[in-house]
Amino acid sequence: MPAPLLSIRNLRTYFHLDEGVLKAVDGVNLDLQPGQTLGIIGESGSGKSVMARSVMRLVMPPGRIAAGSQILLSVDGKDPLDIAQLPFESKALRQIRGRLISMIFQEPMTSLSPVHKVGFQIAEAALLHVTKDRKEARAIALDRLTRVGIPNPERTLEAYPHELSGGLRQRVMIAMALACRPKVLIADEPTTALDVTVQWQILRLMAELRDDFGMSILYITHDLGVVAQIAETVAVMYLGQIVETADVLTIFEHPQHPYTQSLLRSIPHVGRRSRERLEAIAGTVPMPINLPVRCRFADRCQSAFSDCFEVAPALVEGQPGHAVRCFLHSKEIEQHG
Amino acid sequence: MIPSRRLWLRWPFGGQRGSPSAAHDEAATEKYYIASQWQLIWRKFHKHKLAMASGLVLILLYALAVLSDFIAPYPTAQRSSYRNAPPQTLRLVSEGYTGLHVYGYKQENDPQTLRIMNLPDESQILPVKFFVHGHEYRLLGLLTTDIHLFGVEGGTIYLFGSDELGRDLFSRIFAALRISLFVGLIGVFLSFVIGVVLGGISGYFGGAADIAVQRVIDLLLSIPTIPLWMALSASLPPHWSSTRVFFGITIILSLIGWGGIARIVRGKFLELREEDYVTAAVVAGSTSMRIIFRHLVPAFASYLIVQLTLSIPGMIIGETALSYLGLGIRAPAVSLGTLLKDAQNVRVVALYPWLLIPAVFLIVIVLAFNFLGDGLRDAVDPYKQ
Amino acid sequence: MGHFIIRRLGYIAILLVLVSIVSFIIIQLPPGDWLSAYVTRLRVQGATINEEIIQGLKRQYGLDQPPVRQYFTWVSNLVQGDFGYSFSYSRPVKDLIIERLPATLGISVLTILVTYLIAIPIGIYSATHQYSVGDYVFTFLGFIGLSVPSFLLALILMFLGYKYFDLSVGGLYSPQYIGEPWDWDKFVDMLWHLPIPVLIIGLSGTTGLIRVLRGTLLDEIHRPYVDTARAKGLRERVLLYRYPVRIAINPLISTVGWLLPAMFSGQVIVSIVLNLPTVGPLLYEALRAQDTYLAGSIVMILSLFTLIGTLISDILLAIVDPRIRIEE
Repeated sequence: MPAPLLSIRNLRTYFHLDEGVLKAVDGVNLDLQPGQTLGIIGESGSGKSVMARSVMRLVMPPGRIAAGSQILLSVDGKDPLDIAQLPFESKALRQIRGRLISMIFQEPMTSLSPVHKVGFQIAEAALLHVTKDRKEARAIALDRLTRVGIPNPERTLEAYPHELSGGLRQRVMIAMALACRPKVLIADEPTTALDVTVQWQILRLMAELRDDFGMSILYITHDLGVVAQIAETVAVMYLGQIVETADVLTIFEHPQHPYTQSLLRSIPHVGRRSRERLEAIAGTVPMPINLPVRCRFADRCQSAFSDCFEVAPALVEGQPGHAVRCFLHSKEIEQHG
Repeated sequence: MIPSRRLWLRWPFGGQRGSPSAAHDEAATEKYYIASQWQLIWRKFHKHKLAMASGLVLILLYALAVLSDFIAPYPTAQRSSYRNAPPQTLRLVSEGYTGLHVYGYKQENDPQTLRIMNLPDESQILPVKFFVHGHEYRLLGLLTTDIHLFGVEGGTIYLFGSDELGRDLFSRIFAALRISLFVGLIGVFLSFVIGVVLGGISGYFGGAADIAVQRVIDLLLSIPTIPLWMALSASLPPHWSSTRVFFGITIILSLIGWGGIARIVRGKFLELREEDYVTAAVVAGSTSMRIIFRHLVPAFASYLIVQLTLSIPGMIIGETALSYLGLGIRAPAVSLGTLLKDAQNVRVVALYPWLLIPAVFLIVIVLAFNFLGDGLRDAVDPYKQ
Repeated sequence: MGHFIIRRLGYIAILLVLVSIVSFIIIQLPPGDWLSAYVTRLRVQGATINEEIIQGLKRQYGLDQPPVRQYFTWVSNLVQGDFGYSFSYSRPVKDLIIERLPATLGISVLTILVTYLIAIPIGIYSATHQYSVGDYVFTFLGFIGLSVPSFLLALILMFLGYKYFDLSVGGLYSPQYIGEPWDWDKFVDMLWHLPIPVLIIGLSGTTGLIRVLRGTLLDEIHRPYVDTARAKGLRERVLLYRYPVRIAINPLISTVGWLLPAMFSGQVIVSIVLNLPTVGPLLYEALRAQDTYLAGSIVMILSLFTLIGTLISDILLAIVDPRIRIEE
C-alpha cells in the first residue's frame, strides 16, 4: 500500500468553555490514501465537522488543537508536513489551504460572499496560488465552471450567488475548491442543504471530478446512503472518537460496533419486510464536557454490560482494515485468537 | 370535543419548560436547557454588574423622586436673601460642636465687582436635624404632613447651593427629578401603547393598513425630531397650567417616539408569522388574538422591554432640551431642563458652577438607562453566551 | 437600476407630501391665525395698519378660505418659491433661509463626513479586538457620547473653555469677522471655530455608528463565507477587509436614513447654544415670536434635506449591494 497522503494521528481538538473543556475531537487517527474517498459518518455533535475543520486549521478560539496532535500531509514523496504545528498566520499554512487542500461547506448560500461576483470568488483562489495574471485566473475560473457542469459558464462568471439556485451554488463552491487542483478535497456535508435529486447529481459530479483531477476526498456526512454512494472506506464517529472503521462493504454487511449497527437499522431498506419497524437510537448525543472514563456509547447501547461503564474500550483492529472500539468485539477476537 | 379540550388545557402548563424539581439533580448543562426564558434572562442579567448597579441607581432615583417633597427641605419656589449662595458642606466636627452640622452664610461685597458674596460663617453653627417640621405637603398625594427628612433651625441648608432668586437648588433638583423621570416613563408608556397597536395591526394584517402605517412611520423617522418637538411644544397655549403643559409635552414626545417601536413590532410580527410554531398554531385552529398574545407577543416581549428601556433616555433628553430652550415645562413646575436654563450664560456658570449640578443628575440618569438597556439586551439575546 | 430609482423617487414624493402637511399643521397650530396676532402686536406697539393691507395679505395667503384650500394655496406658493413672509424679521422667509443655508449645509456635510471617518476605523478596531482594552475604552466613551445630550456637551465645553482657557467657544467666527466680507483670514478663523461644533453635533451619531458597525462586523466575522475565503489561503488581513468589513460597511450607507434626522436635530439645538449661523437659531426665534411661516418652512426644509439624503444613500446602497436591487 502506498504511503498515505494525509495521516491524522491522535488529533484532539478541545474547546475551552466556562463550563469545562469540550472535547469535540478526542484522539482521532485516520489515513487518507491518494485517489481514495474516505467517508466520515456521525450524528450531529459527533465532532466530525470539527475534525474536518481541524485539518484546514479553521478551528477558532475557544477551540484549540491540543499539543501532540499530528496532521501529516505528504505530497509528491516529500517529507510529511505537520499541519497541526504550523502557526495560524504562517505562509506555509496559506500555501496548503486552497492549493493542496480545499474545502467545500454545507451551506452553499452563506458560504459564498453575497457581494462578490462568482467569477471573482473562483479566480481569487487561482490568483493566490497558481498565477499572477488576472486573465489566466479568469480562464481557470471559466474552465472550472465548465467542468462542474454549469450550463452557462460565461454568464455565471458575472453572476452574484443570490442569482443562482442552491445546486448551482454548490457547483460554484466545488469549482472554487478545484481552482488550484488540490490533492485533498474536504467536503463537509456538501449535499445536506440540497434537494434529494440535486444531491445525487452533486455526488456523481464529485466522484467524476475526483478521478479527473486525481484527488482524494474526505467526505463528512450523517447520511449513510451518501457514504455508500461515494466512499471506499468509512469511519464512524461518536462523541469525538472513531468507533469503527472499515471498507464500505464491510461496514454495511458486517458492522461490529453496536452504534454502527443501530445506525444501519435506523435507515429504511428496499426489501425490508413492511411489518418491521425502523429503529431509532434511544437518547441523544450528550455534550462531550467532563466525560467519565468509560465507553462513551454505553448509556445508549442495548448490549452494554458492567465493563462498559467502568473502562474505556480501545480501537482494536480485528481483521486487517477493520477496527472497532467495543468490548464485545475485542472479546470475540480473544476467543478466536 | 373532549380530547382537544384536554390538550388545550395541558398545552400551556405542560412539560415543555420542565418543572424545577425535576431539573434539580441534573447536571448544570441540563439545567441550562430546561430553564425558562425569563430564568435565563435573569441569570445572564445578574452577571452584568454595571447593568445591575444601574438598575439599582434608577430604582433609588425614582424612589427619591416620588418622595421628593419629603426629602426636599424647602418648597421649590421659596426664596431667600442668600442669592447664588454656594453649597453648604456637611460637617461632623468644628470648634465647639460635634455632630452633623453646616455653617451659616455671611454676606460680603466683592472688593472689585461689589457683587454680594455668600461666604461660610464659621461662627454660625447650624446643627442638621432629622424628621423636622417644615412646609406642609401631601405625601404621595394622600397624606398631608409637614415632616421633612432633614433641616436646620435659624438659618438655611442649601446642600447644592441656591440660584439667583435664592431658591434651594437641592429641593428644586428633587422636584425636577420627579418631572423629568416621569416624562420618560409616561412618554415611553404612551409610545409603547401606540407603537404596539399600530405596529401589530401593520405587521399582522398587512395590506392597506400596513402601507398607511408604514408611511406615517417613515414620515416620523425622517423629520428631525427636535425641530418638530420645538414647533409642537411652542404651540401649546400660553394659558395652560403647568400640569397640562407637562402632559402636553409628554404626549408630544410620545407622538413622535412611537414610530421606532411600531417598526420593531411590525418587523417581529412579519418575521414570527413565518415561524413553524405559529403555522402550527394556525393549523391547530387558534384564533388570531390567541396567536398574537399567546405566541407572538411572548416571543418578543423581552426584546420590546429592551427597546423601551433604551428609548426612555431619549424622551428625558427631549424634555430637558425643550425646557432648556424655554419651550417645555413651565413654572411653577421645574424639570432638569428648566434648572439648566439658569446655566445658559457661561459667565454666570463660571461664577456659580453649582448651577451645573442638575446636569450631573441628567447624565447619571441617561447613563444608567443606557447601561441597563444594554445589559438587558445582552441578557435577552438567546444566541449570546 | 433606473426602475429602482424611479420607485424611490415616487416614495420620496409621498413622504414629501406628508412632510408638507405636517409643516402646514405647524403653521396653523398656534391659536388664532398669525395675521391677527401680527396685527394685534403691531397695534400694541402703536402702529397704524391700513385695513386694505390686511385684506391684501389675507387674500395673498388665502386666510379667508377653509384650511384645505389654504393648504393648497400655501403649497402652490411654495412650488413657485414663495415661502411666505416673516413678520418678526419683516422679510420674505425664503431670503432668511437662503442666507443661513451655506452654514447649515456646510456643517451638516462636514459632520456626516467626520462621523463616518471616525466611526469606521474605530468600529473595525473594536470588532477585531473584541474585549481588548481599546474595545472597552471605546465602548465606555460610546456610552458617554450616547448619554450626554449635545446641548449639554456644548454648554460644558463652553464653560470649560471660558473658565480654564479663556476661550469663547461659540459662533462660527471671531466677533471681529461678523458681517465682514469673506477673505482668507476670515476663512482661517472659521476653520478654527469649526471642529468643536462639528464634533459636538457628530458625537452621538458617531457613537451610534460605532455600535452598529461593531455589531454587524462581529456577526459577519463568524459567517461561513469567511471560512471559505480563509480556506482559499487568503491572508487574515486581506480576508478581513475584502469580505466581512466590505459587507458590514454596506449597511452603514443606509444609516444615513437615521443619521441625518438626528444630525439636524442636534445641529438645531447646538446651533442655538453655540450661536451658529444656521437655521437652528432662526427656528428658535421664529417659534418664540410665533413667526409661524418661518418656523414651518424651516421644519419643511430640514425634512426635505433628510429625504434627499436618504434617497442618495438608498441609491448608493443599491450600487454597492447587488442584493438590494433584486429585493426591492
